Amino acid sequence: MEKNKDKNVEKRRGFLNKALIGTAALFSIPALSSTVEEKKEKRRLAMAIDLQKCTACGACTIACKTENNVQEGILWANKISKTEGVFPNVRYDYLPTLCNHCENAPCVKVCPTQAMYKNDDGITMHDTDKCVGCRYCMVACPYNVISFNGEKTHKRWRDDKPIMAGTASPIELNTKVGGNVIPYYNPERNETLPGIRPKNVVEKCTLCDHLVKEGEEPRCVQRCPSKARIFGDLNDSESQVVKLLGKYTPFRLKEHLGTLPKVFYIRNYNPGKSNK
Amino acid sequence: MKNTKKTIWYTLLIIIFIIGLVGVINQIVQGHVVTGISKEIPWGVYVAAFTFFIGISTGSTLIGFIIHVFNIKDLKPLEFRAVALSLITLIGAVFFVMLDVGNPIRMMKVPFLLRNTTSVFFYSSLSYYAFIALMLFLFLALAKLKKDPENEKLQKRIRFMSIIAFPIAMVIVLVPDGALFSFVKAREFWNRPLILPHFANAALVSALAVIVIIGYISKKIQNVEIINESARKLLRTLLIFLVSGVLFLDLFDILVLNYSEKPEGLEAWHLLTTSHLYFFILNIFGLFIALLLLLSKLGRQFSVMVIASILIVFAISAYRYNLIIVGQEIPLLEGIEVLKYKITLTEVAISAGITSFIILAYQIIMSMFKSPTASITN
Repeated sequence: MEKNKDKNVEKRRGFLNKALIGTAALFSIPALSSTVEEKKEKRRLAMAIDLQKCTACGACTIACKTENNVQEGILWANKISKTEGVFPNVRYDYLPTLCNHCENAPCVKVCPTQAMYKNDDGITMHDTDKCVGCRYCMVACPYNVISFNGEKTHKRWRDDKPIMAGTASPIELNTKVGGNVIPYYNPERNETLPGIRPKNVVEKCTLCDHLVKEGEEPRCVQRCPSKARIFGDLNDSESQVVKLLGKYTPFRLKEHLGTLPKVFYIRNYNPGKSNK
Repeated sequence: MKNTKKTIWYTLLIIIFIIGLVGVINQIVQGHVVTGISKEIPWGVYVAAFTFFIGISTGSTLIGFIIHVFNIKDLKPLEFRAVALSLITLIGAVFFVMLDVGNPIRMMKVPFLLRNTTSVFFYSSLSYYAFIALMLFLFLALAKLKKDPENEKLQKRIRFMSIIAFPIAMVIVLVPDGALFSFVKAREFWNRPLILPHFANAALVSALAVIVIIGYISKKIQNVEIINESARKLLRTLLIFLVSGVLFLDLFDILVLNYSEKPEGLEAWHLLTTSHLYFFILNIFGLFIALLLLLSKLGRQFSVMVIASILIVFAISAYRYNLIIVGQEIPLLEGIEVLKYKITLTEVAISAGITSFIILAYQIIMSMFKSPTASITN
C-alpha cells in the first residue's frame, strides 16, 4: 500500500517536472530567437544636414512631394525661415525640417492604436489602416512635422471639369498619362504605405523607407544639389554621418525634451541662435 | 400660455439640433477641412467642448456621494437628476470626440481591438466605457427604485454605486483626461502638474453650477422644488469653496506664466492678454464676480445664486477653451508662422447642436421619469 503511494507520488513529480521543463522550453524558444535577432545589430538610420551647404533651394521639398505623392498643402520635407533686423543689418535663417525619427518618439508613445510605430531601421512609420485620426501624435510632436488629411486627397486632380474651355479636364489628363489620381503618381511608394493616403488619417516623412529597403538613399538626399543632406547608419562607424557628427559639433531640435531626434544639423552659421 | 412657452422652447432646441445635424453632414461630406484645425493647431473647439462636458459628467457624481456618504437627505431630490445629467453629458462628450476624430468607427475599437498601453488615450477611452456602464447601471437602478421605493436590496446597490462613482469619476476618468494634456512635453502650457487638480476642481464647479441652474428652472418653469432651503445653503457653501479653489489655481497659473520668465510662459501670457483676452476676462472675472455674489448676503437668494452659477458655467467653458487653444497657438519652434485658431460656422453649428441634444435628451428623460420633489422627501 505504502509502495503504491510512493509510486504515485513519484509519477506525479515526474509529470510535474516534465510539464515544467516543457513550459520553460516553450517560453525560451521565442526568447532565444529574439537574442539571435538582437545579435544582428539593428540599424539606426539618421540624417545630418549641413547648414552651410544648404542653399535653401527647396529641391528636397519638391523631390519628396513627387516621390511620395504628397497631397497639396502638405509638406513632409519642410523648412523654417526667419528674417531679422533692418537693412543693411539683416539676418536670414533657414532650417530644413522633416520628421526627426526620434529614438524616444512621443508620437509613437501617445498613439492609441500603435498606428505610429518604429521599424527595424529605427524609422518612425505610420499604418494608415490603424490610424483613427485623433491627431494626438500631431499635438505631442515637438517639431510640427505631422500633417492631417482633412479632405479627399488631390482634390484638384479629381475634377472632371476643364480649367479652361476647350482644354482637357484634370481627370482626362490624368487618364491619358496613366496616372493614379495624379499624373505624376509614383507606384513605388505603394510598396510600404498606401501610394496615396486616404482622407482622415495623418501622414509624415518615412525617410523614403521603400527606397532605403532597396539600398537607396531617401529622395531628398539624392536630389539635394549641394549635397547638404547626408544619410547613414549611426551604428556604422564607417558611415559618413558618423564621421561628420564626430568632426563637427552637431545640434538637434529641442534636445532638452529627451526625444533623441535622429536628424542632426551641422555647421550652423550662428550656433548661439538655433532652435535648441 | 405655459404650453406655448414650452412649445417655443422645444422648437428652438429642435431647430438648433437640426442645424447641428446639417453641420455634421457637411463635415462628413467635405471632411475636417470645414473645421478650424490645422497642422499647427490640431485640436479645436470639439476637444474644448469635450473637456467641458466630461467635467460636468464627472462632477455630477459629487451629489450622490454627498447623499450617501454624509447622509444628507436634502440633496436626495437631486440624485436622479444628477445621475441623468452625468450620463447625458458623458454621451454628449463622446459625440464631440467622435466628430473630432477622422475615423469614428475605427475609434470605437480602442481600447479593445486597437490599443497601445503607453498611450494615455488608451486609458482614458477605457475609463469612458467603464464610467458609461457604471452610470447607466446607476441610472437604471434609480429608475427602478421609483417604481419600487421600498426595495432595500436596490437601495443598497444604489448606495454602493453612488459611493464608488465619485472616486471613479475623479481618479479613473478625470486623471487620464487631464493627463492627455499634462503629459504632452512638447506643449509647455499643458505640461504642468497643476493641470490635474485644476481640471478636477473646474469639473466639480461646473457640474454644481449646472445643477443649481436645473433646480431653478424646475422651480420657475415646472413649479417643482428640487432644491430646498438647506440644500441651497449646502450648494452655496460648496460653490464658494470650489470657486475659490479654481480662482486660486487660475491666479497661480498667471503668476507662474509671468515669473518663470520662460519664453513659452511669456508667449502664453501674451496670447491670453491679447487675442484671447475676452475669454480670459470671462474666465477670471466671471469666477471672481460669481464668488463675490455667492459670498454676499444677496447670494442667499436663489435667483442670485443662479446668476453666479451661469457666470461660473461661462467662466469654466472659457477656461477650457483657452487651455486647449492657447496651448497650441504657442509656436513650437522659433520661426514657425504663428497661426490663430478660427472657429468655423460648421463647428459652431455642431457644438450648438450637440448642446441642444444634451438639453433635449435631459428634458425628455426627466419627463419620462418624474423625479421626487424636495417636499416629498422632507
